[in-house]
Amino acid sequence: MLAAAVADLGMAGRPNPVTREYAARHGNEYLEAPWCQMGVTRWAHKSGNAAAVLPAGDRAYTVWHAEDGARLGLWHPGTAEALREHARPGAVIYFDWAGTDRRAAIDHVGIVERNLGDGRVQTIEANTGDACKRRVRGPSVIAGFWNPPYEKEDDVGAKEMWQHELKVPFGSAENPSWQAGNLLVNAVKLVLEQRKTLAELGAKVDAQTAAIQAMAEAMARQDSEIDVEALVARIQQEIGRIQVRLDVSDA
Amino acid sequence: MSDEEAALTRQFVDRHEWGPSEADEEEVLQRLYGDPDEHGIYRGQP
Repeated sequence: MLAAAVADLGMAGRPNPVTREYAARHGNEYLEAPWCQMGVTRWAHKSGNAAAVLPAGDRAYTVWHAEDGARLGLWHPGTAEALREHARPGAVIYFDWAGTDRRAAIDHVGIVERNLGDGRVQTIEANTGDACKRRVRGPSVIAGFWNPPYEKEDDVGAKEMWQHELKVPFGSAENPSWQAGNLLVNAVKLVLEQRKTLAELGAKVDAQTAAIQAMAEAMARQDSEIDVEALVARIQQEIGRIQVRLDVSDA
Repeated sequence: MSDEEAALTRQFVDRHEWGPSEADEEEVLQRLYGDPDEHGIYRGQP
């Protein structure tokens, strides 16, 4: 969700990709409409989180989307205490410039990127100054928020993770022990380790097959009536009947 | 999507002013993300 919002930073004016996308599904009257809530709708679809973020389907009208979250029992008021304790990255957060916590009075919406821990949050908002920007918001304008029930950890995507970690200079005074250990690097390491394990297993099977062949040939030398090929085939057939349990537990 | 939602969303324009800024907003964002681009957008990675 956050990665989808980050990707739209800097989008400005209208119509724009957010309003065009929404208008394509719901009508051209949305092309020039306020697009803060349409941004949340777009990010939910782009990130595969529509089920969690849009429980009643697409929303362009912010008040209705806040009600959707409240109907799930997930609504928190926009108090400093509630923000400190419950505002998580990916939370949908609503603003009333008049300073009330009334859902009917909501003026604007964004998503939480970071809980600043002081009763404020840093957000990403579509249509703030007719652009998609990062903002800092406090309880004086926050009406409330809710945390969508994301199925997976809402975090930056692998691409952002990669770029982020690469920005840290290797062996810097700030972090002398830093090693490239991001998601992509770890995934490649895992694949290479698995390939090595598979190669070792394959070599063992080849060795066992050769041993069976050698044993059959040795027996044939002792008894000329033994059919080597038939014996190997019989052994292989017996091996095929053996069921083993692969140990897949963590080491 | 209902016609009602379209009408409500259009009415939103009149009372939508994008809100007041926190006094230290620029400082906080710069600390988190570095300098903004030429359009005032903080694009840095967290």
